Amino acid sequence: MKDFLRIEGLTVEYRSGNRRVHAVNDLDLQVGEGEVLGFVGETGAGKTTTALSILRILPDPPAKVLGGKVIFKDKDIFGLSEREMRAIRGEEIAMIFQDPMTSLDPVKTVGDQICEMILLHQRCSKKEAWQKAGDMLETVGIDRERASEYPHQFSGGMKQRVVIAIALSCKPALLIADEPTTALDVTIQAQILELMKELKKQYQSSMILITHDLGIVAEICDNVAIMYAGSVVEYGNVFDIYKDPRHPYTQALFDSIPDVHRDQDRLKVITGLPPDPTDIPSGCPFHPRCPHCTERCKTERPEAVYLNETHWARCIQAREEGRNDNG
Amino acid sequence: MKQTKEKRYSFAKETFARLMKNKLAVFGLFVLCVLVLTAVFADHIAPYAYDEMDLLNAYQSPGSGHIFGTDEFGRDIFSRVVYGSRISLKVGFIAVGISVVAGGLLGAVAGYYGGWTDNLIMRAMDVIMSIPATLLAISIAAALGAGLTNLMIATGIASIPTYARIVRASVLGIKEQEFVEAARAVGTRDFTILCKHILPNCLAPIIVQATLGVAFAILTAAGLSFIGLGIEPPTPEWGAMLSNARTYIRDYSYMCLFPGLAIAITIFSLNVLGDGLRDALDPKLRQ
Repeated sequence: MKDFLRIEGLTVEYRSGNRRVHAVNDLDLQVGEGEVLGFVGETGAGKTTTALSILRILPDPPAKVLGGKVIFKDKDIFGLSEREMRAIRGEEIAMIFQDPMTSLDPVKTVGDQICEMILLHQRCSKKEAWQKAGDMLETVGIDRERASEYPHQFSGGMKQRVVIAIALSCKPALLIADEPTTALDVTIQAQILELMKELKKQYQSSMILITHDLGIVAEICDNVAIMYAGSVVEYGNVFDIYKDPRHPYTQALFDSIPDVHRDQDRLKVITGLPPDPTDIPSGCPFHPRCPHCTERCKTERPEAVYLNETHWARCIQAREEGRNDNG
Repeated sequence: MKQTKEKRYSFAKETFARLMKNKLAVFGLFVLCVLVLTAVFADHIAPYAYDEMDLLNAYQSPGSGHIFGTDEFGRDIFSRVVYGSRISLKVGFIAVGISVVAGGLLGAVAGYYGGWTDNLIMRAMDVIMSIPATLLAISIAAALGAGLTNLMIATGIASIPTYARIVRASVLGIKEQEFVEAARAVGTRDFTILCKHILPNCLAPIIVQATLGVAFAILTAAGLSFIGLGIEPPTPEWGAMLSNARTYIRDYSYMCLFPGLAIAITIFSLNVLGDGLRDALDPKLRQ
């Protein structure tokens, strides 16, 4: 599979006054064509920041890209002019935002908002655009008559469908979905996931699915990147990661999922707190919480250890067998 | 999921329905409509021309023939008040138009771009604001000279900072919302985002302020005319008529009464309408 999105050493920080928040640190990532990547990490791990940097819509100031490259279809995103970038946004890379309640403009009809996207990127008349907007609504399971209604007349799940319709209306090559189901309740979550899975097949676009729900990842992703303190700590295909997680953080994440078949009084947790992004620990960022921490972990930043062609973990002990009590 | 119900009301309709529940606001709207009609059909309503003098019938008390009486030149006060509504409304709306457009644009740019642009524009607004609006209007009118156009420009400029501040404040809130980020993510230009997404969303406070602003503009214009910086005679303007009539206030008080009443009723109705609109557009009342 050809890599068509590659991120190398991306580093982003937010500056507020004298404080520097290291949101993304030296992040590496790749997404192949037609592939779904699950992007997992706790709140504040830098998932959304990474997504916004791919589209180059980070709020600057306070955010600042300090280094790294984002290569999309052999083009360096950071080297493009604003004009070239606008052509990519929406047409080649589209984004679905977390909260459908706020990601639609409340004073514009739903149809107008889909039309706006179509008219921006395709040469067609307003009438044709409106027609296409109706088609898109039908694709996501909404009556086309509702195109002339306003967002407040839709429920949360419906709004997310509209957001998906907007994102897909120009058939983007890459779709970034930033926690698309977090704001929805569980039954609607299932419907939206089903829809996204179906549309993904239909449109054959690649997708980055940002989430902190490992269940969702297992359901639709091909590859998984586990993120901790602004960098990817483990990457591999879903099968490898779920079967044989090698980074202690990944292992701890899986351990913290309650087992429904066993009687458990207390949930397992990862001891300690996520690191303060203004003061990331030296060496391996996970070392203060790691049960296998050694002296080397405290000083040396671990390189990626490849376990097979696609599966790697940033842990110096990743290759050691026997301490993986999960498998 | 209460919003899925068939609710075919658009936002404007809802707001209007809520406005109709406020009796005072309805009254304001009614008076305003009457006023606009009066201004449009002044030729048909006024029994005399506004500059028609009849020295034999000067100083007539209100009564038959001249329902509001006549002034020192025997001009019919009712006709002059009717014609005066044209000037007052024109001044009110155009002056507010100037300040809404200029202030709105400045405020929107300041709020959206932030940083030094924001600082530069808002500090300039602060400078203007530090001078009392009426005083500023007086000095601008004095510098430009008397006349209807200058009057409108003067009152318009004097209230630019108010609108700039209101628009900037709403833009600051709205630009952080996700739909703006979403618009940027689909490749919309900054200017388009500002005009098509942000400004329509901060229309509510602008409408309210503009309604109240019309009242202020009419009052300022009347004030400027009162001190002789506004309309040139014989054009009837309520402020100028009031100014003119103050000489005779002891003997012929009705000459002050009617233009004064006209100003008071107009301002009052605009104010209650503005208040009503503010309540009707209050986001806390939206379902």
